[in-house]
Amino acid sequence: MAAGLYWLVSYPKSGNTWIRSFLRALESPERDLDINQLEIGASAGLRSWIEVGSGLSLDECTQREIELIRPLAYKFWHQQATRPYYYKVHDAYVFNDLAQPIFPADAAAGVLYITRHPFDVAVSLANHNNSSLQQAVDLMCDDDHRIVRFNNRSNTQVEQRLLNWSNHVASWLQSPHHLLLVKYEDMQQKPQETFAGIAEFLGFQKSTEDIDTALAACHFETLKAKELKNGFREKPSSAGSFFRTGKVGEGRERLTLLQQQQLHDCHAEMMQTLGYEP
Amino acid sequence: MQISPSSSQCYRALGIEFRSDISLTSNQIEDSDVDKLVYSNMLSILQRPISIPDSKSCIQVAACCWFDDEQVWLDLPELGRLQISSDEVAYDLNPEADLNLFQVYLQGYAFGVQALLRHQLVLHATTVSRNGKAIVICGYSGVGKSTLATALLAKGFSLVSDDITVINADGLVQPGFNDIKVWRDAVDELALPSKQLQQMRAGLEKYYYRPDRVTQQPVPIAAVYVLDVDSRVEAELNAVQGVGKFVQLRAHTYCHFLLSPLRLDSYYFKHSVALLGNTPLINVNRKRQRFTAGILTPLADAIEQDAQGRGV
Repeated sequence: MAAGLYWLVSYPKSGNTWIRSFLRALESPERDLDINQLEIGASAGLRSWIEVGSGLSLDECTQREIELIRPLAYKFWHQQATRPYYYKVHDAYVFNDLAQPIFPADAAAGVLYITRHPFDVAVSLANHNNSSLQQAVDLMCDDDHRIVRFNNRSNTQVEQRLLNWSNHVASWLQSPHHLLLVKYEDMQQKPQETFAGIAEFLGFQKSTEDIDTALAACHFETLKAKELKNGFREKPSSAGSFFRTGKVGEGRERLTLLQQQQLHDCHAEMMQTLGYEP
Repeated sequence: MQISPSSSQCYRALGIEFRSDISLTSNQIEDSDVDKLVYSNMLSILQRPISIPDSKSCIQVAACCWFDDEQVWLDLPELGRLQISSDEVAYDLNPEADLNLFQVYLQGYAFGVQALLRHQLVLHATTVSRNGKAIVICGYSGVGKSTLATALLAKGFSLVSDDITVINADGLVQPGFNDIKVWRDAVDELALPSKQLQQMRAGLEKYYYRPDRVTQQPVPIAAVYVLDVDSRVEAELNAVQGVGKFVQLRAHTYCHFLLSPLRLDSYYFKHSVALLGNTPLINVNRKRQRFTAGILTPLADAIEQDAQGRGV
């Protein structure tokens, strides 16, 4: 197992929480999987983590200054790590004002990049944001899309720049990181093979049985049932439920043809690269 | 802000008196009282060149933070350096440094670390009081401690200390500076009067708010509240029992990553046992959404009601 930071990177609503649940189940199969205490894959945008890694306070810093501090903190955490650590990332691979990458390649053991068909992402994103489908589609085409926008109020996370959907994917695929690309559709349609590849890339030495056990523990319907029973603390208050349908192909059923066309026009090249063409 | 070494001023905050050649926002000691001060007991804040020692003579504890047995160095990107010990805070500013940000670091971070070096219990918390009893509001960065505390100030509480809460060996919270730092949205939601506000930095919609009521005397603690975000519940208060209290307090200790390196664990343990032996610690959940008046008011009401039950 390579010591250091592994980034679990995705555009939002692409299967990151599923991966985190899987890793948690794989790491400690003896413990019941509590989605409210995943203890793995916390957000790399968490203010307090960046503060402890840098030894600084971000409280009165501007967004520009925070972006200068983030790579310093990540490098420090990576250098200090004596085992693998996994963190969730929604940022695109972007650079700060000093042209330094926020996620330097020499401060990571590897990047697991999870991608999902943009039509399905749009439906899930609309539910997550409690917005219309059109608003979700527009966000995915906005090259200046940011989450946890720095807007002069307190927040436990820092602002994260996502770019538009295809530039998010492209930025990471073109980065110098040691990277494994995984498709949400493969996670659903050929789980054993896909999750075994993920586990291997992330440094786990586990048997096929271990993978199967972990997969059973984090089956979509199981996670959904857990949310129904106990809630999910990471869910935005306005969203109906976090684990909704997880269906592949829902975007084609729910988005209008115009919305599908808009996403296609904006992301045609990357959709083709990833095999998401009709 | 002015920096002129010839005009150093004396201040009192967080349990100490200090002489500074950099102006602070508040708590200057009246000229008539300055003569009574014993200068040798005062902390000095002064400018001089600072270099970070090599790795043989100090240990790096974070990307921009080093320590040896007695002092802590900070290298602040684009700002300059700080060297903090139990009797001195030295600073070395970059020529282009934003002095307002540096002042924030000095009044916050430097004093927090300095209080740790004086073996005080220091929490990342905002404290307010009423009827001579304090409630301490802890929480991770950005969770809304100051916003919630400001809502309580509007209910008749007075400010003891913002962001850093220093608790002395007798379990009393030391008064901090006279301001509380609030974001623009809290200013709007709570309709804070503009004459009591001062913008902290150009380009940042965050303000020093000078409340009407400020506590100048050390105050005993009635309860510690730990603010957290959880979308599953409405404003909900849960008293923590047993060892869970210690886990929570440790997590919200100021610069807790310095405790073990600076060999402060035994002091910390002694202070936290003394504090938590007699003091309730209550988890407070708020939803993951914007802190509007609609969210803030019931939360502040719930805390006020709980605190009332504890004689506050």
